[in-house]
Amino acid sequence: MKEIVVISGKGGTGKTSMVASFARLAGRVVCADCDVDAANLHIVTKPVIREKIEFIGGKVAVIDQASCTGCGRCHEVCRFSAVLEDGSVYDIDSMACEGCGVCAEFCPEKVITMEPETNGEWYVSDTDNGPLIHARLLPGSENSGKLVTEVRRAARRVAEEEGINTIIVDGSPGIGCPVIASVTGSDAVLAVTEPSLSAMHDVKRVIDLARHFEIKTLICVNKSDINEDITGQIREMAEKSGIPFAGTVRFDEDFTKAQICGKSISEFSDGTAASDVSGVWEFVRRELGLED
Amino acid sequence: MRIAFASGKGGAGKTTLAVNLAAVAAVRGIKTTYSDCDVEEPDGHIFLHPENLERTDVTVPVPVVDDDLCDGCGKCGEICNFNAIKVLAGRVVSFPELCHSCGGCTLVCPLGAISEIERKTGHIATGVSVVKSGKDAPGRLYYEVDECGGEKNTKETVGLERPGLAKLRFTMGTLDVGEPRSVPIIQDLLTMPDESNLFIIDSPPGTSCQMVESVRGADYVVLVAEATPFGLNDFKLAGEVVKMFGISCGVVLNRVMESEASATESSSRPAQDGIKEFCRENGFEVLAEIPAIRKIAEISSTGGLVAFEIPVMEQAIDAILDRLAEIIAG
Repeated sequence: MKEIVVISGKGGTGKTSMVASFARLAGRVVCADCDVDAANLHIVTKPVIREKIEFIGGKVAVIDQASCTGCGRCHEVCRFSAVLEDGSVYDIDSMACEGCGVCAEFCPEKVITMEPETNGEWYVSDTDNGPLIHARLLPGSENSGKLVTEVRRAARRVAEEEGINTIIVDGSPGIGCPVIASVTGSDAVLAVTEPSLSAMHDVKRVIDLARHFEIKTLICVNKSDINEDITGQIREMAEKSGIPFAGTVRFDEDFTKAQICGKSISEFSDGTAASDVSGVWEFVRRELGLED
Repeated sequence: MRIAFASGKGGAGKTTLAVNLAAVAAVRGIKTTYSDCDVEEPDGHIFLHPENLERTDVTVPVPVVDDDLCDGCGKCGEICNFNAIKVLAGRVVSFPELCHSCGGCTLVCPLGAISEIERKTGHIATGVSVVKSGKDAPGRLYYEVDECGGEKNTKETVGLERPGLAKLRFTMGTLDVGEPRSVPIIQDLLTMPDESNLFIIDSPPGTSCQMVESVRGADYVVLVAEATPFGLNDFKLAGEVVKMFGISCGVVLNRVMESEASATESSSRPAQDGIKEFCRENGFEVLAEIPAIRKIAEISSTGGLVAFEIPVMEQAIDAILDRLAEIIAG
């Protein structure tokens, strides 16, 4: 089984549209949407939900107000300013609470409990191209890294159960905990970038991240003809660093139009962008050693 | 006044708007700070070219165990909710990258064997950006400024050829590669002493902890929404967070794509309508609408400031700034 994670560093580079196209081009695959903060893959792949699982990410402190003596010890030991003080009344700001449990441990009256907190839910669904594992993190919630790990674990399980040999993961932007959780232990990452100085800056950081975790990295440039100069610089950078260059996808209004219609570019048109995306997928498939 | 620029979706145009607004505000003579809180992928410096950057490390306290004092009782491992400290075969092993720095292990250790050391997770940098408008950037600026971005704002139309220079304070945070936790860096950035009248926060994308941290202390949030189904979906999620905090909010619709007949399948109308409907229901005001123009992408790709080159961008930024000025004036 092979698992490829598509990441970008910078958001909005067309990562999700590419993932949806790859899924279509690959035939039957398991997709996992690990951009749990702002999941989008379901918009294009139109999943039918098969299973829905509540995600309990962490714990949150709760003070039993009736039994609290107002000693303030919880306020003293909390490092996250999550214990609000109003005279001798103490309460927990659940948004600031990290769930560390230090207040509960040191409450002399033992009136603070750590309650499991529902942070969202995740789903196993069916699409035209195979199962999709996706999730919804409640707005403002923590523990997105943990949720990503749950989603990837489920994707593996489903792939094994259904005898599917390819998992395509839509990673999240950035280089912090959700991305780290998205890429660790995968077979390869494909970094999708754009020819802009800012996207180039971001993709370098995400490549460093993949290198840090010793994962094979490929790179491709979307909207490559917006700035041919920078596209050239990215290709050069890849060659110098020994990163296989998976190709370019030219700017094509069909890309946005497809998205607006809720379709992948491969499904929507057979224009320049669509044929470029097929080229990139062919490259990725060969690099991963996936047979036809 | 603290204004946070946020968007559920990455690539919606948040940084483009934030840096251009900062530049135009500075040129108008408003004492401005731009603070890049997208510490996983900070990009503002590519557009604002800060000079004389001074760096300060950001560190978090993590435990160290004195093996001579430790008797392997295991209390530290029991209190740690993040698997950052464990007792294996009578020896304490710590995993600093998992530590949330709650300090529980040091407090709970009966033998005082655990102390804390500071561990670097990134850095913050502060500097000054000099923004050029007028002659150097094919200027269309209407506001008179003094040479170093002083306080006056005459709001008079000046000639297109007049060169303008303005300064703004620039701050940014950068998370080290391989480190998971961006929140401590954002907290350091947002608690630095600052004397500006307009403090612009460029938030990280998404809706989880780091985005929450960057908007929670803001007086006003500008949500940048891309007029596509992806954009609509993520905008709503970000909108929910802003609602939770009860912060006043304005919305900029970006990359509006009009087809000849707006009813055609590939027009951005439905997403746009959805965004506007959410705004109406939640009392968010629509501050500006920016069309999808390839030239904006081209100029931005090279780190250029579009407000000084593309009239519709300039008008949009002006409109937002005028509205913010009204809000500040109360």
